[in-house]
Amino acid sequence: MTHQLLSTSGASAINGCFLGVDCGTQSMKLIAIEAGSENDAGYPRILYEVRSAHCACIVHVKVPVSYSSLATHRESSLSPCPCSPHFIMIPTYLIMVRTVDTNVPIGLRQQQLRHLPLLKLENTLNMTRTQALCTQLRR
Amino acid sequence: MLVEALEKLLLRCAVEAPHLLQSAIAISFSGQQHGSVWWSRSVHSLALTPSHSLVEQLRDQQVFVLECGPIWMDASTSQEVATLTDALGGVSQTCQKLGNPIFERFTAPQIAKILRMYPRLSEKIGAISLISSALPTIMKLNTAASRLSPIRFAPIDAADGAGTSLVSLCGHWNQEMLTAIASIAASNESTHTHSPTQIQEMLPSSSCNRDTAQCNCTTESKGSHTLAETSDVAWSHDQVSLGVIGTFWRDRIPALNPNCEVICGTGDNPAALIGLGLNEQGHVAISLGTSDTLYSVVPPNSVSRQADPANATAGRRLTAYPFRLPHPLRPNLLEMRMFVYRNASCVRDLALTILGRGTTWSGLDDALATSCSLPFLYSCQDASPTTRVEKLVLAIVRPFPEITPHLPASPSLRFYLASRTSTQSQSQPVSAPESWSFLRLDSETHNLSSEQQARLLLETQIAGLLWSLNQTASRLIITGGGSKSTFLVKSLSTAFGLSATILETVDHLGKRQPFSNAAAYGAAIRARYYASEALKEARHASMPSASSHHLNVVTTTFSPVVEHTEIFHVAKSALEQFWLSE
Repeated sequence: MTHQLLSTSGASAINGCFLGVDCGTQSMKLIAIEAGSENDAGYPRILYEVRSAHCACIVHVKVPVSYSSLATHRESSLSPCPCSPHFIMIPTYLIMVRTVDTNVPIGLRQQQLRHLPLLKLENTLNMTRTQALCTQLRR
Repeated sequence: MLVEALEKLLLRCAVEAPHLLQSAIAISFSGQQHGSVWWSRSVHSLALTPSHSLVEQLRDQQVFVLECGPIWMDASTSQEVATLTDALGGVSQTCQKLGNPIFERFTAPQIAKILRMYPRLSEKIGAISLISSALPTIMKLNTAASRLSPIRFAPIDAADGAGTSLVSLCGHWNQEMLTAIASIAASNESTHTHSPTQIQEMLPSSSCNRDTAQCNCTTESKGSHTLAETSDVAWSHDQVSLGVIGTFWRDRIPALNPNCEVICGTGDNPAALIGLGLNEQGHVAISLGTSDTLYSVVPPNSVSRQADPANATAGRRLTAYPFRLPHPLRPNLLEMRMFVYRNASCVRDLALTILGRGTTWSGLDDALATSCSLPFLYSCQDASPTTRVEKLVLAIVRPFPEITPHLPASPSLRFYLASRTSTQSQSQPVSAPESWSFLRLDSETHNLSSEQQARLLLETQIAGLLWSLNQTASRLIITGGGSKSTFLVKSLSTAFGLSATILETVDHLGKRQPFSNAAAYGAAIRARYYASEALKEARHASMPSASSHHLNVVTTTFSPVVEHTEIFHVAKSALEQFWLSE
């Protein structure tokens, strides 16, 4: 879980807020905006952001940072693991790109993955396959 | 998983920022489009205790018939897509009825496939929600002690409904589609049949007591307020607002304002559109990501050249179907269009590889800052007193089949010199130019530098983006990873002939960050937009002044090089003709 706490001044400082929750592919995010705070361009202030990395709609697979060169991939959707700086998170849909392209249902694969604890997933990941994935993504 | 994530987020927020939850006026949601959540009938007898984790209680009481519902990545329904499209009369008819073709990830073929695979599942299904409607449904759950009425499933938002293939343009369930799904579902086991009514009963409607089976809505009737008010998907304020949070959340998270209003969620794409500030006709946003996406806001049912379904079978005409959906804040007045360009980041990666200066955007900007030639190496010369010749260079490469427009893969990078001639006389203005002719260039023998090659790649890509938009844009916002490149943003500004804006956040210390989480931000704006006026006013009256600790969303604007805008349009015409000749 990563977060950015923006408002620290207590209840008396908040002029009412609205909450937005985004259930994304990799994570779930919550943003609080301040009521009536729109700037000249019409954008309200953000009071608080919090993000869940582990518990979104899709399993993340952790890969050691030292092994993977994926972290330098500019536009891929990777994020550091909030539990350990030694790992980055790869959403499983990246791993299943090939599966999707060949029209094989991914539901079962997802289901198989999600029942495994993350640490176990690390061990079951074939590193050769991970390396191939890195190469594929960097291409 | 989404239940677990939602609970953890709110619990975390209650610890870190309880004052925010206390002052929460309304909450709304953004969910991955197309994904579905499958409730079991046991949800109607759900007995929740606020002292226990929600996810464990839902699991223990078997509230979901599918623990892992399909999401947008599932492309396994080609068979169902073909069958459903045929049932609706082909692609052209489907577009006229639903607004979009049917794609594998859309909810209707996903439902058809699951019901076909598990024919007896329907006996256990309580309802099928989208992710964006499941979350507000969860926020309305009550404790066992206070549950007086049956669970209320949140309706599907009009904008998100456009990604289901279940909803006609008028906002009603499409009965032909429901019939076709029932037919597919029954195809696996002859002894078990489904009816369209059964399928419809699985879909939470915004007006449960109305018989929609007699709906004969036409495309033109979409703007009717009467239909909007009686639609099956949520169009109006009354349909979008679900009342205050359920008693489970009131007791589970005491810090959360018990009068916090729950607003229907919408899809992640429409939510991001709101978050970026695209609320008026002519607003355009381009997301430079793994794929590029061009969002535009247009009047409802306005005809797009590329969207004309007749193009689908028009031989050599280029085709591209934008994803069309009602605007998530003003569904009666505006429509949103999305064009997706699959090869986007691949082409940009290739440009960076050619430059060989690392992978940073600043490296690209530095490299191209010194290339002062005109876009596309454009030249226009008078070959004789009566003849003018225009020349430019296009860079063509498509590692994957392209979506916008529909073109096959063309993996090898090629450069083409495009030229055309116009004739003129003293008595007549310049006549219509001849068609473009194309000559393949060898990058080495024609001395194309790496900077020129990279620039041609990126500019040709931008001409392709320009091709999709056949409307006048009034505002241009650039977002996504590629927006870090000043060269790309400036080039887009020039191509579209108007200032380009990028969004950033600035904290109270002045630290700038790229604006991210547009979908969550848009969901919060939607909560503000639809929250009951009475609640908004009551909350304002009791709340003192604003905090100084916050993030401001700020804009930075890049001006176009207006004398180069026409060159991009000339290149667009050359590119279009080249595509047709491939």
